[in-house]
Amino acid sequence: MAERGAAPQRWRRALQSPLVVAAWIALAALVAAGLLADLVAPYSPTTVDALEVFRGPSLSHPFGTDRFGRDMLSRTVFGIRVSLGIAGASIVIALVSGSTLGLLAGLGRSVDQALGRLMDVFFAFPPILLAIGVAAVLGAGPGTAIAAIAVVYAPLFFRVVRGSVLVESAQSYVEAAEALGLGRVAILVRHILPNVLSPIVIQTAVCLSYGILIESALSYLGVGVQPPTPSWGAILNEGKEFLALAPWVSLFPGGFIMLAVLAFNIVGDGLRDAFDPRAEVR
Amino acid sequence: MRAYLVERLLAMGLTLLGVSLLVFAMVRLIPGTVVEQLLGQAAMASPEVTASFRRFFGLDQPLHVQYLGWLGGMLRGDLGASWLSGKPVLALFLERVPVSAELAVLAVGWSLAIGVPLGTGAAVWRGGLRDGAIRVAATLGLSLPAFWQGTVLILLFSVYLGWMPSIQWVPLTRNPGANLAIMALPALTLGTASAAMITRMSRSAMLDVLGREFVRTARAKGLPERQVTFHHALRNALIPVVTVAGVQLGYIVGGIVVVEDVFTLPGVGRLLLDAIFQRDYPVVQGVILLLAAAFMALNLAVDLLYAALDPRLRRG
Repeated sequence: MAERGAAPQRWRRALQSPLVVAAWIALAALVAAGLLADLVAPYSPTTVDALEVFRGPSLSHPFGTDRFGRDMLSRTVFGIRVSLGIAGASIVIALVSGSTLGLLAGLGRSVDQALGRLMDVFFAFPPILLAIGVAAVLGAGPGTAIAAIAVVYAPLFFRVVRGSVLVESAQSYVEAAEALGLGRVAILVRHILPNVLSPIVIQTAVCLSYGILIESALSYLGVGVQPPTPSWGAILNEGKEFLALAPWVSLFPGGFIMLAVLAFNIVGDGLRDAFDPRAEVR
Repeated sequence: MRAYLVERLLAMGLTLLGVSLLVFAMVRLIPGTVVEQLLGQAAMASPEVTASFRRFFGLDQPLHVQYLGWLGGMLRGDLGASWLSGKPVLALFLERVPVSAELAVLAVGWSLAIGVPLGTGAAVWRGGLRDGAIRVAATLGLSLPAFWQGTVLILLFSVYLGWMPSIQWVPLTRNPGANLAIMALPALTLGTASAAMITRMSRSAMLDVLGREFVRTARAKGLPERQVTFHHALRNALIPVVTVAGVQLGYIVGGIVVVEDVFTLPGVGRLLLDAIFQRDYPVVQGVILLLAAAFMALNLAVDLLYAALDPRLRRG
């Protein structure tokens, strides 16, 4: 329980490194640009302009235009909404379902073993392969991408939460609560859950970076978001045929994928350094 | 060790059974029956034709009979045949394996060759400028999407530098030079994230070992720093690094699907994607199952290697 009292201090520690602060600012800017895409983007992401086909970066089109004369800056900015939105939605689903199952594993040995066996099946697939399999079944589309990423990462949240629940269950405060006659579910929700929040927060940041990578990979391969919807991966997929002619179509959205993933990775590292008790030993 | 092996193999068998059930269910969940999709494309869907197709593919049987039939076939090495070419799925898979296996081995090879020295260096130079640069590079490497990195490399080498390896695939055994020229950029792309991960792991493992008692003893004995670092510390730090490299090899099994698409290599990943787009479900089912089995086998091999390398685990 002492950990909860120290939370504000840990957050301060998480924000000590200038690199981590820069990553948080970059993420905030990306999210704001995505939410305000209608105001930020100079053009509509789908407006075709036959006179402006394959224009290189210029003042009127800073990221150039694609084969339909669509403004690449606008498509990239609207792409934030699609790519971060899908990654965010899928990780929230994975977080809620995986963590709930992880908590349930604390109910008893038989529940734990049954859930563990089930999750082993999902861990038997390389993540991107499982996502492609799910996407192949459901057919391309944003809903598919969300479902595919959630299926891949729910087991990861399960594993993290289950591990923490098992450790916490052996603590004396749990024994005390049991002695006071509290039910198992009440102990899990009221006492154990607040103490396993740190690993969940760290895992969420890391999974968001994977979520963006998998969403863009699925859309790039043609089994995720479909054109003309501007997801970063789908834009890259459209651009690959014209790489020599119009490299800017591929370069800018790809750079944004990297920026977003990098920011989430740095934020995740910062959170781990601040919240992971093992990091203190070093 | 033997009891451990038997236990792991049994657990793997059970998981593989679950995997087969999941893959089977996934393909059966596809909206509309697969036969109607096939016939719909051919625009000749009379009820009689549909029924005869369903009978031909065994889809008129109850689900559990279909599953058991498929499972029984698998145990005999029969994964069914492609709906498009009629070729056995296993033969199609094995035909493509050499390309993907070579790609995976090259990728892990270069990521080890880069990652271990960089990680060791970063640990030795801890807190310095070089350490900082290596750590930033590793974080960048982890954040690079493979398909974008591949695209940028193609742009740089083929379009701007005019370096054009053969578009036609050449096996390693026939012309090693031409083969490696084709494989260089894909292997570089596929191994980047692993190299970054191995760098990070080597650094933290080395930092851990360098702080241990026996390293201090070695220094106190007056051994030169170079000998302490490479002979005493690195050898011990390599154990967790081997594990990470093995795990990365597993993830690379997934990454080949993306990289083979970017570089249009005729490997297993390309086979899977083509099958998905052509709705050739026996191939999709078989390839996903075989790749998952390969992933599990690699994870098992890593655990065994770890047990063999770490004397404490061997005795226990």
